[in-house]
Amino acid sequence: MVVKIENLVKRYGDLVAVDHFNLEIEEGEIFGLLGPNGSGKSTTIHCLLSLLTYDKGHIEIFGKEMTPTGYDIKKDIGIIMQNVAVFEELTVYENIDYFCGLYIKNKAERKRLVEEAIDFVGLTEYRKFYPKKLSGGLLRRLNIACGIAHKPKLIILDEPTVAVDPQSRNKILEGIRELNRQGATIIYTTHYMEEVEQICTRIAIMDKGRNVALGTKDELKAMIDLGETIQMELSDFSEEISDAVRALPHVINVSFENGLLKVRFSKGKHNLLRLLDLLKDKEIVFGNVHSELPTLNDVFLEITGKELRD
Amino acid sequence: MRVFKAYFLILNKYKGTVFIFFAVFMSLSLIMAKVNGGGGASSFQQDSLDIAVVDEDQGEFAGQIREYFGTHNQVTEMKMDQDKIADALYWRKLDYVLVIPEGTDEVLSKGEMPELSCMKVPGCFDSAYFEAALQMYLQKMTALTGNGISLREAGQKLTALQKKETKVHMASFVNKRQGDMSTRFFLYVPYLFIAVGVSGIGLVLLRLNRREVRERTECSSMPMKKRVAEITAAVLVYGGGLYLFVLVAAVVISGGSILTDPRLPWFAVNIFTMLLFGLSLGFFAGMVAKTDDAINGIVNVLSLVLCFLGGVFVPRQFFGAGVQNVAKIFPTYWYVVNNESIGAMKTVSHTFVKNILTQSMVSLGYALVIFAVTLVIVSARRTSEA
Repeated sequence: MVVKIENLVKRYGDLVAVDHFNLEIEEGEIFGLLGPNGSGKSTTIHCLLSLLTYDKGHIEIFGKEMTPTGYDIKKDIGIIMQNVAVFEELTVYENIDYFCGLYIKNKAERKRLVEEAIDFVGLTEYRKFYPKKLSGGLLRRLNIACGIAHKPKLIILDEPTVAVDPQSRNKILEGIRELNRQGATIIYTTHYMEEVEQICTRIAIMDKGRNVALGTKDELKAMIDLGETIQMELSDFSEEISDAVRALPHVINVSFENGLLKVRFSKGKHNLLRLLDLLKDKEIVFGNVHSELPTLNDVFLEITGKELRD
Repeated sequence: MRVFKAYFLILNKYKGTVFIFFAVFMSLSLIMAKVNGGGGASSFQQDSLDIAVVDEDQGEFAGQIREYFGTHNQVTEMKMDQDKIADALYWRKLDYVLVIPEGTDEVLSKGEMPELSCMKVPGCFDSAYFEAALQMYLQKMTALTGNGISLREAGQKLTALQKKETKVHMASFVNKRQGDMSTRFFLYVPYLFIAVGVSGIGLVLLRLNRREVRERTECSSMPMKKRVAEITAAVLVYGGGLYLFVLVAAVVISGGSILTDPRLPWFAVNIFTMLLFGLSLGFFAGMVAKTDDAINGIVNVLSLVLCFLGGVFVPRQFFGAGVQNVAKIFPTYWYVVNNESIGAMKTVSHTFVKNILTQSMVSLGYALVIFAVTLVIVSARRTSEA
């Protein structure tokens, strides 16, 4: 067990930011902590790292209790926070060397690790650049390099792709997978469900400080009734058609907006065929038919009654 | 020594800012140290101009001008002769030639501004000064004549006013306080220590304490005690460098004579306590301020206010008793008092030692209080963040 959080409670006055939160993360996982802004993800991470005190609960990392002076635990942890944590006054190389130097005393070893980190994030040609000369995406990569240069066993990334262009985002996500392949356990917090679906082996969904669902993405999707969502463009839509669609088997709900019909079905076979047959019988012209399997947003919606990005 | 090294790497980026304060200090102290304090009062004199008046009006006004401006200048009358005037201006026999055209008296008597013409040495500052004075004179004259006073009477009133002399008394303490070269040099040290202390420490600590950087550092395996020790070491090395710089500069400026001066240890004690005060201010600024602007504000306000009211820039005797009493709460005041006492030292008496050490305690006390207050503020802030 790499991380074990038991019954964690963190309050800010009357506000309960983390509410009896439990979590266990095994070695080698890419664990996603998914939730909307304000759901308690960052607070949980800050408690996990002993950057925040907490009101109740117990946290263990690598089988030892995590405390602010747990330096033997901290030496194997790398953090990459949402806000870029580098010195504007130091070059790319100097920044990575500084943060790596907080862990690695041996100069030769540190030099090797810094070079590897620069190479890993693709900043070789920018090594003498100052951070203000880097684009947003390159700056994020520098932020990651500063957090991973010492080769930690546990890497915690708190929303590392906020305000990053798609190209840099893909590079970052691929880098995270590579770090995992090299043996690091990853905790990845985000409110972008696509990223979690793309890279995480297991996911916890947080809302209002609570862990509302936990499992692999398939397990999470299996928890809900929704089987698929079918969308199609319609030329005409009336109350009569709406009632007819609702009467089909497995239909959960029907909506029509801006010429687009959206029908949510529970798990079952031939939903699309039945819908198409109905429209054909009613002689309704349709186009651009699209069927979508449940997303984590659907999971979140069904569990909490609101969208992830509300 | 990662944090120690990073301190100086970051400081290196702000060497320009720090250098400016060094330059100001060195300029001030070098100029003041080299200035011979005795010459100022006796060399005070008034410059006068050679002015010629060409009177084409043949009236009252030309006489009034000669009388008014003749008080402090050499004013002569001459005929309009372009060649002669050009020669006189070329050879600097004249600074300014004023031409009073026909009908000037009549215009002035109505309270209106006459149109006068002139010939002058190009680019001469003194001529510009005379023109400004002439303009002022004409405004007063037209104000009087416009209110029904005759041209003659108005001229007489203005000339009478001009002849009233302002007596200037030179304060005797201006020269007394300056003492010898070393005393004058050390007088300006508080400015250096406050300005360079706050900027050199404050700006770097601000970077090291930026929330994101601090969190990443706190998550590292470097113990907090080691980080604090490295920062403390860096600040002490920086402070030691400043201290050495001042002592070496004093040796250079005095031509080495300060090394055999019995007052040197006392000067050294006095500037050391001021150094600790400057470093504590830097620590306060770096830990409490949140932006560069705040640090720069602290540098400018504190260095100027403390040095001005404390008597570094201006002799404190210039201030009234009330201001001096207020100034006594500033460590710079006691630094200056100490500096003057050390400068005037003939023998090391028990009273002298007692006074110097007691007064040095003010700076030291301030340094300790600022340090303690900063720790309390930082601790309270951390508690609220957690």
